[in-house]
Amino acid sequence: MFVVAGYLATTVVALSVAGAALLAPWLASRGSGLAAGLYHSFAQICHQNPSRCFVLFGHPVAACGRCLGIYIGFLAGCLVYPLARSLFSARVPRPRMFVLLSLPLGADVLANMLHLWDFGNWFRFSSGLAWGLILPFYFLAGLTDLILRRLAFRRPTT
Amino acid sequence: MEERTAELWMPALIAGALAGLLASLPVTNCCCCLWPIGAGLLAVFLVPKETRAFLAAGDGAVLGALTGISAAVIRGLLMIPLQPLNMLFLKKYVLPLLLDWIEQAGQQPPSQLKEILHGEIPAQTVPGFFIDLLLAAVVFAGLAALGGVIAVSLTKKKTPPSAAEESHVSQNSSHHQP
Repeated sequence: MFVVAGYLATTVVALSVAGAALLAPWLASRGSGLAAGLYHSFAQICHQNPSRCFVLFGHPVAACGRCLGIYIGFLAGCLVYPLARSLFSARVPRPRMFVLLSLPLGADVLANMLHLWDFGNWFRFSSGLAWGLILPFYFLAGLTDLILRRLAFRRPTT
Repeated sequence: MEERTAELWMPALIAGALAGLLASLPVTNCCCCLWPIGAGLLAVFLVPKETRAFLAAGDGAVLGALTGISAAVIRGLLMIPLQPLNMLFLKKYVLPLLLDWIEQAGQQPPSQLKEILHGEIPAQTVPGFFIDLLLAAVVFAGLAALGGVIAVSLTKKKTPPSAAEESHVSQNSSHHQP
């Protein structure tokens, strides 16, 4: 039950984060004061460069294209997680899978920094999405392992 | 796990201090989630090899979370003296560049950007500092926990199911036995 609760809480948080990033421009277009709070919250871990953000309702999304891709990828990963493996499994993906899905994002970040190429926001979004997809398979595995060990520790030995 | 916690604190503090420093300095502070996730990864690699071999995914998550909290606290404290330097850098280099990019893209720059560029930036309030610190601690802890689990998986050739998982599976399977 705790494992299922952990999974549901992670999915709800992922949905809230992705939703909040997309909600901020709508709130800004309506002149709501909440928008400033949302933009400020996302600024903790995103540069929010307007030229690298998608524009909705005439305002930039609260996270850059790459970060938005990671958030939506994480949410998608959470949703497909029960189809791919048991919620009670603490097994993590193979390292080669992690490297494979990290390559497009890593290459794009490096190339953008070195001014080698700039494929635009949709490529940033896609590479972030691919990377975000695999992240719940680590996060949920860690959470499940913690919960199961805590339960095993509490279980009385007879 | 409990007896190992003490051994995990030092790597968490070292990796957290490094990430906190990088996340508070001008130029390096624009690397999104790289520093907290990287700190979680680094913390696991800083754990002595003989202890690291016994780390499970959950231990990586706990170590990462501790690292993320340390990073957020150190970043918050460093931001106090570094704030004028960051603001100077923002006004002198980042904002003019941003305005150029936006105008080149044929868009109208938000009025707030021009206000910041030409006006005074308000100082942070004490409640604002603590809200920021709390928010950063939660976000950094989550991201660094992710880094910790990834590092544990990368340092192991093959991850065996944890003892708890095995006992859970065997318990479940015993229910189905006649």
